[in-house]
Amino acid sequence: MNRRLFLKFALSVPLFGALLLFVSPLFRYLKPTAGPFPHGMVSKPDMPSSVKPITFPLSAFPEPWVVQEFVYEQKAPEYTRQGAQISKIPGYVLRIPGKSPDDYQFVAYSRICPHMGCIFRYLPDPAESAASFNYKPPQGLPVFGCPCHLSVYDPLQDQNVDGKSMSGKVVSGPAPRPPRQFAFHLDEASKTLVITDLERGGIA
Amino acid sequence: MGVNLPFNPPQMLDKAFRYVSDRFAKIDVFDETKTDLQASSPWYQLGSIAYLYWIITVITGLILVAFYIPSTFQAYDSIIAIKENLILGIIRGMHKYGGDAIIIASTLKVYRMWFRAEYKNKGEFAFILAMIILVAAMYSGLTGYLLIWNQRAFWATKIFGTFPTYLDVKAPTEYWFFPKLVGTTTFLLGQYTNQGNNVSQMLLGGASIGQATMTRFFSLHFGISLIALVISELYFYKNRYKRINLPRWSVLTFIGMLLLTTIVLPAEMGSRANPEVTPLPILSDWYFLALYQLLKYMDPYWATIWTVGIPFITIALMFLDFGPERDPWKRPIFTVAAIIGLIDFILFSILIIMNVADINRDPPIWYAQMIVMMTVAELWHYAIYRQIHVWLFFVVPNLLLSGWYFFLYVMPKPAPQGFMNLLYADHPSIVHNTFEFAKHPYFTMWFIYSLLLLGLSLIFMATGSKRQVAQEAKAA
Repeated sequence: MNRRLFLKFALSVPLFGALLLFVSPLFRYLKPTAGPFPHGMVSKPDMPSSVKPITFPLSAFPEPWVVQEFVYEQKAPEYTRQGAQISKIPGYVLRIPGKSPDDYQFVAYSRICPHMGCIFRYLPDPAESAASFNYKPPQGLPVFGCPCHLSVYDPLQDQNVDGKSMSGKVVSGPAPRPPRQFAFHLDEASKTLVITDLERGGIA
Repeated sequence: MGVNLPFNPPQMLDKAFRYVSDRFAKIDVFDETKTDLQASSPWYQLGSIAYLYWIITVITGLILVAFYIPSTFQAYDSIIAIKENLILGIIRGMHKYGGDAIIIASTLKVYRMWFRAEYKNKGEFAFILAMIILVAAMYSGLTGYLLIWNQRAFWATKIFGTFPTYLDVKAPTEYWFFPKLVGTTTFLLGQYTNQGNNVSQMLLGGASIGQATMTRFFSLHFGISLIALVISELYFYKNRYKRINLPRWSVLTFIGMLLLTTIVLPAEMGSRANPEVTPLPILSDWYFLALYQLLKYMDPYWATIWTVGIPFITIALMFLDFGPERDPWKRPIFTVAAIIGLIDFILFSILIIMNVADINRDPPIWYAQMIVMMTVAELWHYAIYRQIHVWLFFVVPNLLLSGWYFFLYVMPKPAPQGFMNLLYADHPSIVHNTFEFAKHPYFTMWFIYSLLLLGLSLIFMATGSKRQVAQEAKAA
């Protein structure tokens, strides 16, 4: 190795370092947040996690078609110095008609539209959904509608997603699936509804 | 001398190298080689106009950076402060409208190159570069308008960040070979790499839109122009081209137009971004409106593939136009294809502004419009070249299929009994909807057939017109 070659080599090191810096975001591929690699190829994905559960007293839902809004906080990895970000996910919990007035039936949806991520809204008035969302509910019951691309979800109908039946069928518009759903349970002792977790996927 | 082989690798390599270098030699990014034409036609000033507006945008951008705070909490307030200052407000308007002007000029330039067939005779790379410049300008605009942190910006970014995630999911309608291939490839790849989600997270800098997204977009907004500026300066320096090939009065006019727009129509602010409320008519910046409407009409997977694919399809179509004709009136297929693109861009933009999108009614109409216009183009081509195979392979089958399509659209529901039932092919109630429509088995056959015909007739036409020109030359 002569002096010129050595100098060239020495000069190329920082250049490659800079290139590596440029490519470094791609290393994120090695640790995905979306789902695990098959066969446990690398490490476990760092999935977003719930910050704290959300509770509602059952008295907040005196009758069917009462809807409550909430904001669910989720800790998700972010490529900043802090390494994580608390993202706020707006949600709806809706009481749907049960068999009797004391039968509490709920659906809990993330309000982030599964189509393109806009925030959909509750449309109790069928005239509004007919005028602005191109969908007239046949029985005049409330639905959910997204303002971005006019997808409409019916909480009373089920849709098959990858062999699993989910409530919130897409009755109009381009959405490929029902809204993402919260896991919740009824606490009989304290008469509360506890929302614990959110289905994975999508961008908050 | 050596042996004459049917193919000679070194020679082929040499040819390939010459092919590339010939095309690189024909590149002119800002119409620097069109100086003789500029005097007679303003269309040939578009490149210089784009450069002029670009430089204005870079300079005004540098001034704005001094006053802007790239943080989700302070960005909106800092822009209000900029807006309230008279001079800075005008500078911000010039930056915004200058960016829009670059996109307008580059779009018009792409259309000019298409209609005048400037990609012929070794101009392919120049056309591809014009497309790349247009896409880069649009991307720069997208990264720029998030920085305002208003509602429009936030929700446009949400959609921009969400749509790559569809590359991981299974494509919903796989009704013939090519879509099936695309769908299976992305799905299998997605299972191993989660490419869609990871691309989206790299764009946003995390699983949601936040400070990391803003920092990323801020640096990209700079980076695109910075890198392009360095490359274009090297290009001008190496070739010793003049930078702005415009007469002085015309430079002054264009700057005056920009100033006038800024003063008459101050750049809007919108309302502060609120991640919890999406306003009902939510629009993107004007150059993405047509794509927004496409998202309303199409299944999201295919909308993603189309959005990414449009520039590539345009470039592929350019390579198909290999006949010798340059006159737009003598290559009607390609002229009409560009007109369809232009009309749909404008109509889709108008429709989304009016919030008109009926997924159950509109998509078949757009499909029919395309077929009718392409048939007109074929007839036009026949009128020029009198090639009988145009009728045989395209016009007659297309009319038959359009008739069948029309029947599908108006046919009585539910299916009548007897012979007519055969036409329904196990679909008793065809919904007027592209998703449902595309699942129809006759649609599959029809679609494959029309594509085949389109490909065949394109090849016939390109070779046919070549023959025509040769004959004319012989006669003369």
